[in-house]
Amino acid sequence: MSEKWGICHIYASYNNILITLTDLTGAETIAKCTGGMVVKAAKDESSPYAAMRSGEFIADKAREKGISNIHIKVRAPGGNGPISPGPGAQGVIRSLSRAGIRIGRIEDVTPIPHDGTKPKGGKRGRRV
Amino acid sequence: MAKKQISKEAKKLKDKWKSKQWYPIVAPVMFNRVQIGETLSDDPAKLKGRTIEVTLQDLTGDFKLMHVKLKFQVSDFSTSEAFTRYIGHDLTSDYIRRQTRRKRTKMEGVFDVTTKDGYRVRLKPMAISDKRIQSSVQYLIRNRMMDVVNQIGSTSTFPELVSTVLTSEREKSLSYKFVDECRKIYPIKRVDIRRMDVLSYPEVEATDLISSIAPVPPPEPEAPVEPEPPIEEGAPATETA
Repeated sequence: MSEKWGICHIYASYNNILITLTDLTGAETIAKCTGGMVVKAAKDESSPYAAMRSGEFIADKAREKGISNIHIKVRAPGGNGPISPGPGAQGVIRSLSRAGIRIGRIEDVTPIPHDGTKPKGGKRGRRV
Repeated sequence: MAKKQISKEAKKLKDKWKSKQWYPIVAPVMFNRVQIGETLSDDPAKLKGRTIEVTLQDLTGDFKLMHVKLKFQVSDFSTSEAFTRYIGHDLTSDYIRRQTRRKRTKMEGVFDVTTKDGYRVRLKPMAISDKRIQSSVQYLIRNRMMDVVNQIGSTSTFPELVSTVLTSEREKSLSYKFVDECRKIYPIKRVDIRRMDVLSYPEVEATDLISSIAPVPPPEPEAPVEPEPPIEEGAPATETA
């Protein structure tokens, strides 16, 4: 096996985006990047632009370390929070494939409760 | 600020990176000892306990089995390879979500069995009907599934059980057996084994038994466990943070 595989864990919330590139077992981190590392303003951390930049960063690192194929695991906050990934998830995947990294499986690994705790906000919801 | 931190971290990582080595991960004898991936470590002793997920498609080449994820755990290692054992399988969440729809009934069960050779295994079959079923019928179906699991679990060895769970051949497959049995009660279209977990292993794993059943080209001798690879004096202790 000359071509190395890795797993790209993407955690996309509405406030930020965290990318961790690991080996196939997930025990060894190869590269990591977040939305906050590539943009200045806190409000832009989860933006597709930040996702794109951090995706490029990850792709550079991956190529440097000789990893040319990646499986992707996308997740949203999950639990009692939102279960759909934030706006940055797509941007990361797009920029990774643009950067010439081959993408294997894409999987959603959002933790879904089998009924867990009560979401925050109280009985009558968040009153703005 | 942020940039500086990145470059510093990168430098530190690079030194660590050089000391690390790629180890091929080898599937157990049951799966013909194919190489299922590679992992990275500076010390082969750290490989133990790592888990890897492979789809059944990767092993068999059948793209219909893309949704079955097999899990392997590194149980043994040599200086150049990591040996794994099978710890169960799972279906992808999107596959399960595709199956469950409105007006259908999903019947799930959790059954523990002990195989003939002493493995304790938990099987979670999932039957899905086309129409809504009364709960009394569901109850019957679940009981029938339990009977099938108990019967097959106590009469087969662990490798046999795994192969009946994972195979897509109609005659051998456990899920088709479920379908046949459940059809006597209600016309069920499909039963999937949603999940399988190996709860405990026997004291001495019956390797002879495994190699006699599985179609292995030449049964390689088990690699002896390395006592402790000699640590170089000059190398700094690289403990992952």
